[in-house]
Amino acid sequence: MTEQGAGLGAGRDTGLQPERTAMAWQRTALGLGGVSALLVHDAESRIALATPGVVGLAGALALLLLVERRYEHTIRQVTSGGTPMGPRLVRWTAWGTVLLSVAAVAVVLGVAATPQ
Amino acid sequence: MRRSESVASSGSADRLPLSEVGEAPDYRFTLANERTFLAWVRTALALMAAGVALVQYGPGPALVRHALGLLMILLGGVLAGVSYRHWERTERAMRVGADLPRSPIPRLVAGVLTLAAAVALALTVVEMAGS
Repeated sequence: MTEQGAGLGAGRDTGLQPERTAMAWQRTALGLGGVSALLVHDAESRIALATPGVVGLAGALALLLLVERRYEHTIRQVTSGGTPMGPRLVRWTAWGTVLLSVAAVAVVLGVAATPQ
Repeated sequence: MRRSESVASSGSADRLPLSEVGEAPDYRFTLANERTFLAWVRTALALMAAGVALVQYGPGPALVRHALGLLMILLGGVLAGVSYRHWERTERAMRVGADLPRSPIPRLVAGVLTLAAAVALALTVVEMAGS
């Protein structure tokens, strides 16, 4: 049980904090994807209005991939006694969400202005 | 690790990059702070989704639906920005062993949600009574 391989096993937190944090990131990425998909759906066939949602979906996918890297980084830091603190992805996620909300306002207003 | 006389209140420490302030706290605190931030971002995303849905499927005249929906979408955006600031301040406080900052966001969210729910309920009742 102590040998878990790949150098990611030693001294693991029994509270599974890195795992819980990684899954919180994944849920957030899924949430971003969900709102983005909703915006694409809202825009229907208006190509310009669908753009923010498509960009958001791409961002959510990128976040899912980055989260995997962040999880491995966290494990490495924790096992070597370092800090897993990383402000960059936190900042990007926050500002991305702010941007998505501004885009959502534009999409809702745009849809209302161009009835199909 | 914990210093009661912190340098955080001196002002200049507020502008240093996070990694240069104080010392790293127990990593579990850092991760807990991160998860709290993420929970707030998901709350913001849920508000935005609810806002878009309200505009599309909500009760009442279009103008009211749009006003209420846009309010919720904007609150979502504000919430995402504020929760980053709160994450940053909490991490800073933990690094210097100061008291954790208080947050106005729960009250703000509760207020706007109560308002939105009350208006939506009233509109639904009016609509049902009219049909």
